Amino acid sequence: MLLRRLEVRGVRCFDQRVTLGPFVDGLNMIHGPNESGKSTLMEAMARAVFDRYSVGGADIQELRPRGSSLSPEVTVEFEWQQRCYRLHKRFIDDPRSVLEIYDGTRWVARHERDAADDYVRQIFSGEVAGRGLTPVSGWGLARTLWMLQRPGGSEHHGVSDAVAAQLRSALAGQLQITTRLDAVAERVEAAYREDFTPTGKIRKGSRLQELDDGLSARREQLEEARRRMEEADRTVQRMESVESELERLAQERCTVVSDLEVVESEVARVEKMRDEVRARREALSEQRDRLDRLEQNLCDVQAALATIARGERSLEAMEGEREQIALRVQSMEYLVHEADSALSRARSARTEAERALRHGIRALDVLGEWQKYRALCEQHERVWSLSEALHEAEKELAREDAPTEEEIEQLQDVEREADRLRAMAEASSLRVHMHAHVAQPVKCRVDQVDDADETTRVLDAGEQHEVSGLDRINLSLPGVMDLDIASGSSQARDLRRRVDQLEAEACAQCDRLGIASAKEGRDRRARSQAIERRIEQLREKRAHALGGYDDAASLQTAAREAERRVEEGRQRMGWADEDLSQYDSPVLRELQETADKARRDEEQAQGIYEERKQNLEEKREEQVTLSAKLREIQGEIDTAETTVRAVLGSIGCPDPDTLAHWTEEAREQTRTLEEEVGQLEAELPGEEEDPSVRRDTVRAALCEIEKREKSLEHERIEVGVALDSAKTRGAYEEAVKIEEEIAEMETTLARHRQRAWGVYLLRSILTKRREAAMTEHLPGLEREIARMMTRITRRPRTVALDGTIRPRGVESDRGEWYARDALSSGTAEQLDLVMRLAIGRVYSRHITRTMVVLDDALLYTDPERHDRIKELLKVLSADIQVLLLTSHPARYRGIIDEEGRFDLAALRLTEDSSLGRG
Amino acid sequence: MVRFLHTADWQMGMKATDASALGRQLREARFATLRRVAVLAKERSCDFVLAAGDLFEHNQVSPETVTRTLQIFGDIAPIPVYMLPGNHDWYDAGSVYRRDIFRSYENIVVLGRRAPVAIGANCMLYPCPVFRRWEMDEPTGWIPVREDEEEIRIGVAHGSLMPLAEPDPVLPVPEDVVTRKSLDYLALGHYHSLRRVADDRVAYPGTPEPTRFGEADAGWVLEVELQGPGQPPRITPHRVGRLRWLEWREELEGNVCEVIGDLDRRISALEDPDHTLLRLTLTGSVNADELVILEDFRNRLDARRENRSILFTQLREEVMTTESLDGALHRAAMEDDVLAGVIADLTALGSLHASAGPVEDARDPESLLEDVRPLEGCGVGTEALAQEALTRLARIIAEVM
Repeated sequence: MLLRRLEVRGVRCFDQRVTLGPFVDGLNMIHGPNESGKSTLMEAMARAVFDRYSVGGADIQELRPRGSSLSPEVTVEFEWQQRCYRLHKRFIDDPRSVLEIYDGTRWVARHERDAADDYVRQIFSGEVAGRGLTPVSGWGLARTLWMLQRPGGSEHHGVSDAVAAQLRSALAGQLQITTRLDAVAERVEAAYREDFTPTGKIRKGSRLQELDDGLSARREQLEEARRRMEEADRTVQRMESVESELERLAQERCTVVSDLEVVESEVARVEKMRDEVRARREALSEQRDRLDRLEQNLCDVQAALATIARGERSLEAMEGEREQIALRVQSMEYLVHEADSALSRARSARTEAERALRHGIRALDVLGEWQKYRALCEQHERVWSLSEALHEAEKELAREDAPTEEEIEQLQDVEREADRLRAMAEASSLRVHMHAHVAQPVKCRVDQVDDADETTRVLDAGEQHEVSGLDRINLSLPGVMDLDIASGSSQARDLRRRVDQLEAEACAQCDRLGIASAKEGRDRRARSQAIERRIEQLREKRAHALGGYDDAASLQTAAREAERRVEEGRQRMGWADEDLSQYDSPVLRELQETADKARRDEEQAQGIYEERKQNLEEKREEQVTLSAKLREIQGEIDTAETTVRAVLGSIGCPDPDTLAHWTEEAREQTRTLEEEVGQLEAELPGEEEDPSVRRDTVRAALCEIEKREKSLEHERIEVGVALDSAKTRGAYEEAVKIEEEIAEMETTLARHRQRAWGVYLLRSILTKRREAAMTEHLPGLEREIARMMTRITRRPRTVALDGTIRPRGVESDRGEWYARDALSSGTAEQLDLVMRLAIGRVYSRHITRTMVVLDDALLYTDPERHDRIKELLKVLSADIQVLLLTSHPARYRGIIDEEGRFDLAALRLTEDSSLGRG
Repeated sequence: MVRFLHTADWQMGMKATDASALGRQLREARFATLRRVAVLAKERSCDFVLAAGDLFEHNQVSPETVTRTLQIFGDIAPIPVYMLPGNHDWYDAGSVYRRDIFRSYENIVVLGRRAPVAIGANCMLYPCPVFRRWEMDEPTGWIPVREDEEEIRIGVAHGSLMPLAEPDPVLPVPEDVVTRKSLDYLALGHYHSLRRVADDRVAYPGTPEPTRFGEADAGWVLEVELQGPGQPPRITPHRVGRLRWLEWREELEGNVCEVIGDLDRRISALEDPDHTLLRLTLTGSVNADELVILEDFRNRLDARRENRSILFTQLREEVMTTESLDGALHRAAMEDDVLAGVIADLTALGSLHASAGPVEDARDPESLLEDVRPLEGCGVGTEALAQEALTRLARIIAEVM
């Protein structure tokens, strides 16, 4: 199969129509950058030639351009067996498949839909398409010859049996004979395919299947007819059973009727006997009633007499007791009265004691208030005096107006500094001790020169003068000397100056503070501190004196309130004198004790009273009960006497003794009658022998028989209808006809089966023999592959293939054997490529020229080997059509003519592009 | 004197077991045969017709079959036709004889009770109807001994005559019943072939029209004349059956072509082929190439049947396959090793169970049987498959070469 043109639209990145072709017989290259759609083109072609047009599902939907609702369309133009075909396929929406053939002038539609799919699929892979997307394993020879980019797509996975058979056949080299054998095999295969699928199953729709299905259907009908026959048989059996049962029932009925007659006569006899027994029983019953009545009367009379005797005895005993109880009640009433009086007295005493207690409590409250009031007043006095003292102290403090510690410190610092500087100045100034013993007084002018002043002193002779702090001294002795001595130190001068400043500053501070000096300030400060301490003490005392009150005002308010309460209490108590100190505070404890005692006395009196009252009531109850009892007994006696009189009067008996006698007579008569009845009953038949029971049984049996007969008659009618229906159905002959047809069908099926399976056996044996014969030619392919590998790798290689024409491994020139998985990525890749090329070459040479597709097949091959592969491709292009898909067109420079090149990148820049010529 | 037709085993509505393709025709042919029986009864002025059981194939035959049968004999009224239920149409609640239509024909009498039936002034019929499909009791046991010396006593029963019958038969009828029961004639039914025993006092007329292959001497009715009580009956068989059921067996020896050719001629020369059914069994051995000759012969037989040059043919092949020594297969084997191997394998398979010895170039039997293993359960034997495969191969090679 040679590819001529490929056109896609609505497939992934190809939303616009893209046409590539015509492809040349030899080397073709479709090149473009990554994601330009090279692999998509191959996938589109695969889908078109291997899948059904009506395929659905997510996988085919993914072919659509993203975000588009376009339906993928692919047109593949190809050559096969010197004829040109064009397949147009559209998926998803309005799916279609049309195969056209070129008759030299125009394209003519050859097949459509499934027929088109099957035809093309047969050409490319030799198999019919399934339902969903065709997996790569179903691509037939294309699976081998198309080396595409997909997981595991580059590795050679061997070929299908059909392709292997073709290859072996091709390698046989026995073209002439092979042709004849192929012709035979082809006819055998054609005959085989009439009834079997390629996988050896009976083909649906085949004659074999049809016959089998037809036979099965007729067998089902036969079963149905037989079932109807069996049903009819069962109906017959049922009828037989019914008639047999009816016959049996008729016989049984005769027997039962005869039994019934016998039983009836027996029943009559027994009835007569029973009547006699019944009469005697009635007499006995009357006698018993009479006896019962007499016995009952006797019993009643005897009971009444016993009651009377008992009652009289009881009356006598209970009379004495009644008198004792009456006496006891009298004494208890007296005791109750006494207790009542004592209780009243105790109650009065308690009331009085409680009243006194309450009065005492109230007086105590008032006095307490008064005490409180007095305390508050005193407290107020104290607070007031403390406040006054505090106020004085504060004024004194204000008067002191002492400087603060800081101020004093500052002043002291200034003074100390001044002193220090002064000392320093003195230390650094010129001291002149002049001892002059002059005859006369000398006037010495000492100029104390500093920056500010010049002081002139006159020193008398003979005097010792110490002058310090001088910077210069000028001793002037008129006419004698004029000595001018300078200290030569400015420091002293500065110091003095600073001292002056400090002294001025100290003075200023003193003036501000109102003191003469720091010492004075300190003294004043000390005094202020003492005053402050005193103030603090006064405050503490005052706070303590206030107690819980915030201030004197609130203390005063509390005192006033207490005064008011005292006044109220005084008035409540009726005390006239406002000075309450004269009133005694009652001794509450004594009042309380008196009141408590009064309560206890009352309680005790209450308890005694109630106890005595309870006892009295009980005793009275006892008295009442006893009286009632006496009345009751008397009543019983009266009743019993009445009973005796009534009973004897009702039967006309004069006395109880006579009644007893009559009763005994009646017993005797009753015993006699019972004996008579017993004898008669013994003669009657028992329940089990009762003929009436047997009669009922027999009647029931007869009734049952009649019911059964009626039911069976109904059933017979029903069955008769069913039987008539069965008769008119003629199920037997229907079954016979079906059986005859089945026999004929079985004969036909057997004949066809023998023919079909005979062909199956023939095919099987023929295939086995062919394969066995052809296997010896497999090494030819191995040598071809080894030559190519050696050419590429520049090392001698040997390749071994298995039955599926898959490389088992490669043997190096050193005799080392490597399985395919153990080869380097580059070598394995080259081996896979060589497999395709070798198989493609064999196929093209011996069967028909075909196409090999290489989609960026060489990822790991080094440049040197790549160049050798290029050369190999050039050579092989004489035998096979090669379609290269690559992102590196430069790698194949020099081997592909212009007419075999197709630039996808250029194509993608234009709309509705066509890349190609013609 | 009484004269009557004794017939039995009409098997109306029967299934054509041996010739299923002709079922309808065979059933139809039986009506024609019965018509001949009825006409014969009239022509021979018979006093009555006595049909001894199995007149209908089954109690559930179609109403049409019953009606047509009764019509045939209804037409010969007032000649009585006595019909005895047999073991195919036994007399139970569902018996065909209980259908109302039997009451429509006054001359048709169903013998459904074991009770004497007077025929005329001095003839008594003692029917022994079958009441169940499988009965082991002697059906003639109830027949009372002779009391009237002037009476012609005819028994009619359906069963197996002993000791001629196989052991433990169904419906055993002792041969001496005619003597024990003083019967002048015992009309039997059950066996489909004509049989006369006990000095013609006991007879099976057989089925008036054969029902399958192997029924020798069928197709008769018996005209029976009884002059008087104790007189031996005079029986005249009349042929009423029309169809011929032939069975040939031929061995394929020597020149198979000649043998087959001879068979063709014999078949062409058959008399009355329209009423002939032929079962042909071929035995012997053919070589692989001769299998085609056999297939062609089979096809010719089918064609004869289809174009009605013979009513029915059935070919049975009990043939072994041998190696081919000439012919297309042989030549193909000479020219192509693969085909030679295939032919050898198939030839070996075609005679695997026969002691024919190993076939040259064939693979070993285990390997061959391995090929056959997937075909187990296909319903065809290995030899037949191999022969078929060879036949197909021969045809294909003939086309290709």
